[in-house]
Amino acid sequence: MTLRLGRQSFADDRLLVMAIVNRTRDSFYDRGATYAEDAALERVRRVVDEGAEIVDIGGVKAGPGPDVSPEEELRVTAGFVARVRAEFPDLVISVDTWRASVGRAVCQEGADLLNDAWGGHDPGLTEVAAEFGAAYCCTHTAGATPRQPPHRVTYRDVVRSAIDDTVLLAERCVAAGVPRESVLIDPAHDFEKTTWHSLELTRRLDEMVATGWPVLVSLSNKDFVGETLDQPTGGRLTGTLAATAISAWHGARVYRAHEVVETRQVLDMVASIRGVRPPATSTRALA
Amino acid sequence: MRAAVVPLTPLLVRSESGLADPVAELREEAVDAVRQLAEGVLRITALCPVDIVGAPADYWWPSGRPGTGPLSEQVARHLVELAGVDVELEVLLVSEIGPAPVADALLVLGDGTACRSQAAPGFIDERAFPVDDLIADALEGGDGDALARLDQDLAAELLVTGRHTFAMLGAAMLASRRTVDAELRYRDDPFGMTYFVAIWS
Repeated sequence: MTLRLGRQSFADDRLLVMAIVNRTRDSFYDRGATYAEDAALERVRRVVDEGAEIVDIGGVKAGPGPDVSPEEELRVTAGFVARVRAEFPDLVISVDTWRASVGRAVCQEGADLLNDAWGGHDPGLTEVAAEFGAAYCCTHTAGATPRQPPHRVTYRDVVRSAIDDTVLLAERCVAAGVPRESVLIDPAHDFEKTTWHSLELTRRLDEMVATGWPVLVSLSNKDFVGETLDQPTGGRLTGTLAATAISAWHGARVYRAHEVVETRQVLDMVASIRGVRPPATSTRALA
Repeated sequence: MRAAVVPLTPLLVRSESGLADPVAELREEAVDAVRQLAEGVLRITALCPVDIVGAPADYWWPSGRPGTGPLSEQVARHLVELAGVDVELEVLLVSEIGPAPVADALLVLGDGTACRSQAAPGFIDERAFPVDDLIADALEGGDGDALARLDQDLAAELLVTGRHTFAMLGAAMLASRRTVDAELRYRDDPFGMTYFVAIWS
């Protein structure tokens, strides 16, 4: 199914890179590197140049930390979305938020996609997406409170839970008026999950893909990669790319990533192995 | 009355932490405590927290290890199995403070606070430190009164899974009207959550 993300539509064989742009002081990977607005804009320019179709702007660290009020979140996202929109009229702009008030403000400034990283915690967010014709990403967080770390979480079947919860939320989005072709589902690796759970979700991602809803994966440098390979945040790219390749093979459509160039290469390589993308060049033994 | 206090972290089951074994010493102490608890008795009564944060009533092992039921009960059964003792295990599921249990050998499942570091399950809360100190002092000193009077509301905020079972241990000891030889054999917080192993006899 063609995926419509606000002002852009993408054919179903396109694999999309969503570049992470944090307007936070304390996110686990970049640790405030793009908290300053100019630095964040510079990052947007770079990731667009590197081939990202989507930027995902976030104003609140996912993990626990100092409280970020809706006002503070608005302050770092809404105006910035406007600046990005002004410079990149065709770029798909996503905003990572769970708050309807923030969603409304960023949609007014031209955001195309609301990436609800906390799985419908604020039901008003779907209404906002519907009102503005924005796309919506439904994540599986098993009812977790935003920013609370997982603690002895358990599932009879984590994949079943992820499918049931995200599909329910997706249908709720459609019922609220979000176009069906603008709804994504995300198993949300690490969110309310152990490393075992995130590995199983990756291994069985084809089951989520089989629901027919386009799947977004957010794998980049996460703890499940770090724990699996015993690597600190700076040493997780190889593991991230391995998980990216498996997810692409299973049919995920959108890849939320810190490293755009490497992610794009993996996606191109998998697409070519699958046979849906010709090699960039092929002259070997053909002269 | 004899009692052993052990945590209920899933990591006590060796398969759950992958290739590494970050709680080897804790497991050894817990298994030793269970072994000592079982000496000369036919039955151990386990006080198993359930239906509170950190003590799910139905726990499926993330690694795929077979088993269902309350996490605390599964951990208790596993420790008894590791201890290799031939005793009957009676399980009391505890979701709130119940009557003081009457038993020859009590296996008390429970963890301390879970709010001792930025990576802790409950993030960091300065109030956690004196609460863990109070529990540790009580376990080390055989102070049933202190455990029975544990501030339940504060302990709930700090995600103390042992708040009910520790209080019941304290009440059982007070009811027995005897003093105990108490030993705190392990106390640490490797993941920002305090684990205790203690034995009272």
